[in-house]
Amino acid sequence: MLPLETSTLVFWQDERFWLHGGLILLVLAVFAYVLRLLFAQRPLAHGAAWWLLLLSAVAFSTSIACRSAEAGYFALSNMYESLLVLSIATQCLFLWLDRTFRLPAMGWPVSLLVLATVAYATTLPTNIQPLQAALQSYWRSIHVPVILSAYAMFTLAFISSLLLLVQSWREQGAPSHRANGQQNIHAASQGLPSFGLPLLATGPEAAGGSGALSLVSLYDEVTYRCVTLGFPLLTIGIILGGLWANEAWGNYWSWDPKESMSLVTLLGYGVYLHLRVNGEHRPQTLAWVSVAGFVLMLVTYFGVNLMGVGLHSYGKIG
Amino acid sequence: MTVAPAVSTHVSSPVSAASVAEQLPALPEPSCSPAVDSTVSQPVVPSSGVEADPAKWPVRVLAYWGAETLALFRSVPLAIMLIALLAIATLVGVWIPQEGLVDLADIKRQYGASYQTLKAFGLFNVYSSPWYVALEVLFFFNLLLGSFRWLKPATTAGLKRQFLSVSQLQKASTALAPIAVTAPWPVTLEALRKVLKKRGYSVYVQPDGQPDKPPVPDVSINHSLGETRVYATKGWWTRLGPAVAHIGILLLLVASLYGTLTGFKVQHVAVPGETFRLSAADRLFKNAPAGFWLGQVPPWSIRVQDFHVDYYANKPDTPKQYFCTLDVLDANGKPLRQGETISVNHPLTLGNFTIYQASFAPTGKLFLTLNGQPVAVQADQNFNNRPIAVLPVSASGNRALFVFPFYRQQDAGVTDNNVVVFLHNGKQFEGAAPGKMPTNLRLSEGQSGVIAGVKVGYVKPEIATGLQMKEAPETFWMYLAFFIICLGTVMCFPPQRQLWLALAPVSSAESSQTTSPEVVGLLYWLPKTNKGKHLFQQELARLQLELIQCLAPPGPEDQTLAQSVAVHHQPHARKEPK
Ligand code: HEM
Repeated sequence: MLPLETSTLVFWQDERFWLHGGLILLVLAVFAYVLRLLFAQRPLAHGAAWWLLLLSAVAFSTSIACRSAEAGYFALSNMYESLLVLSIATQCLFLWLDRTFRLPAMGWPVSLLVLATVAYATTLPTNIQPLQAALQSYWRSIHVPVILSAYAMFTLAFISSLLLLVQSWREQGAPSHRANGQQNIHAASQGLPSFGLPLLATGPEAAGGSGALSLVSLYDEVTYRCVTLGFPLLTIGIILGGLWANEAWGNYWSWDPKESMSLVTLLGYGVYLHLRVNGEHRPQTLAWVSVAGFVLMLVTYFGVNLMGVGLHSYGKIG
Repeated sequence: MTVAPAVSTHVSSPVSAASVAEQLPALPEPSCSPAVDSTVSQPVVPSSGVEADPAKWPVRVLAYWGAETLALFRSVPLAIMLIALLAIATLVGVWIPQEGLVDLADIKRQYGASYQTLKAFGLFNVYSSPWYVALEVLFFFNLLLGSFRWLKPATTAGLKRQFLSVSQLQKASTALAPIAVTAPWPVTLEALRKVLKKRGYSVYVQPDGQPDKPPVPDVSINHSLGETRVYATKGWWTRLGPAVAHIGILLLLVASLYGTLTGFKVQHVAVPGETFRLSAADRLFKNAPAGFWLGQVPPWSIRVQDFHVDYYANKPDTPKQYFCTLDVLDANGKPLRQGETISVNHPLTLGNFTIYQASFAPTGKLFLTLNGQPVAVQADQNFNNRPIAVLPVSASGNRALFVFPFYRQQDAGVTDNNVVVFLHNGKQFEGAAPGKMPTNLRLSEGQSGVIAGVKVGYVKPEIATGLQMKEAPETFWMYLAFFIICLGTVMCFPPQRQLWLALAPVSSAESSQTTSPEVVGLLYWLPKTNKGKHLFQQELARLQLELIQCLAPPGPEDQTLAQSVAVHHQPHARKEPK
């Protein structure tokens, strides 16, 4: 994983110590989120999941910090580091969302996805490489994290859209639930396993005061919030990239595949925003647009790197 | 909505957060949609003067058709379609290799027979193809016209300080249950102001229909004060967000057009010691087609003094940074800038003109010494598909040195620039034997040696610097547009929350019928948000509690939490003379 000389490091200076610690905490967080769903009334289950997720984000951040200290630059230059920072951003932003909206049903898919991402990242080459000349710029430390935060928001929007679609599909499947929707939500908010899909059944806790609105509208709102935060972040990130490119190569924009694809992603979410402001659309329609935006984001993030062409090939795996 | 039971519930029994939450009705849907705004969705009709004259029917048809086209042209659905089409077109450019980015020969090989057809559709040059440009132009006008049509009302709708009357509020289906008021108006208004201000709202009062008249202090119960309307809002500035973002996009499009019409780009590969004129450089790109280009190339020259590359000590094939030292000379050869060193990410800027360090490459020229004399040779011969330099060592020309150059980065396993030298005697290599490598000499930079009695040294290879120069008169406007777009999209994030409230007096008869006799009035209220219903709902639940506690504090017999909170929040209510 790392050059041999790092073995002289004290354990708390070792990025692997924090990475593995973070992974363990994350596994616990997944379990805690599932437990939190099943035993929503227990206050302990509430806090534990949130704190475990927070601690694992702190551990991952410390791991990146140790790595940066060793590399001598902000360690965000290959796919492994990029995935790790994306995971941290997703965790932090979800912690904020969870605090604001109380979304127990979103906890386990988010933490599971982050777990899968970090687990995948550790299979990639993790050796520290010296930086190419073009990457030695303070722009790199701004441009990349901003883009990754946008991706984190879109990931959360994606999960929330999926929950919306599942929820509306369940409501359609059992029309009687809709008749006494209020009751249904109340039951769901207490995390009572119901209707065969317990893990997807839960919504806001009643104490949150959101009980009067349906779960579909809650996930609709969460998706919208995530997109309205992700959209400016991606805009700023792309513009920062343009400024950097202008400084480094004398071009804001060279229609390199990664750049073009990020523009496509931005336009995709632009469609989402304008559909929203233009009259009434079913939340499900909007959720599908957000899912499509996420697919575009994945192509931008992974696809173009796998093709390995263009200026952004430093993101290449390996 | 029935007023009485709601009021009595609130006033006579302690209220818990949960029960308040249950009573809150669903909020109105965000109504920022241009399509549902009746004032703006009227189709444009031809003017009545034209209508009156039957002889002018072609004009009428044209006017009507024009109006319809205009309406379509600036519509938001068209905007959505154009954004989606731009996305798809851009996607095409990602999947199909583009000429500027991929080698032309590769593209031709890959597409074979279909190359010409696809080229005719501009698919190898998507971003400068007529249809992509047409899409952008359409988008520009859609955005420009749409801004006046949809964005203006959407923006101003949130900025208006409207007041709603009690009867309007009573009719509104999304209004909340009225709250009982026990204190005289000035005290009540002051309390209301405090509660709303604490939650970040700006509060505007219209007592007796007089806009913005401040409430009169210390008036005892005065029913004649009549209906008083209040408007409270927070985050009104976020409604400017879309307009700011769209103006930024318009500015970006205009600025980049300006740059296309007046800017240019120059690429030149220069060797140290070379001076070149900008206008005579290798490649001069004017961004606009000939005849449309309005800029000019300055009559400057650039003199390259020196170039060198730094490599990582622990990774000899990765360049750490490369530096070029140069002078910029004006038309008379007078230096504008002298001895400036540029490197990657550190360009040289003269106003709107910028010189970037883009790349470097060996030219194939090698500086050697032959028997102590400096010589320069060009590796222009081909030996088994490797470029080599041939350097005769004797006047007769039979004996020659074959010099094989190797470069860092270019050749696998090479950690420095070096040459391998063989001596050829006209028939064969010196020291050649079957199965054996002929006599040779590997020399790094600065080394020398002897091969079959000939003394050679390797000084260094000639490395050319790839410079990119650019005149971008639009730079300031581009940066401004970038800033405005960022600002605008960020401004769109927070929701705007609005509350319309009205105080209505309650006659003593009404009041004793409905609830306790202290009640002197009712506060009607209607909430609205353009996004974020759920969070607003949470805020409303707390706000309702606070209002109930401040406006109608429970009597002394109610030993509730509500009471202590009310005392804490509302000292005025206590002081007020009974
Ligand atoms: C790629 C270009 C565009 C971008 C990046 C963009 C961006 C945005 C953003 C961020 C919002 C705010 C959405 C929200 O608050 O949820 C918005 C709203 C809006 N956009 Fe665009 N827009 C673009 C093109 C257009 C075009 C061409 C039109 C032409 C009519 C248009 C019309 C509108 C309207 C009417 C609103 C609603 C404003 C409101 O309700 O406050 N947009 N746009």
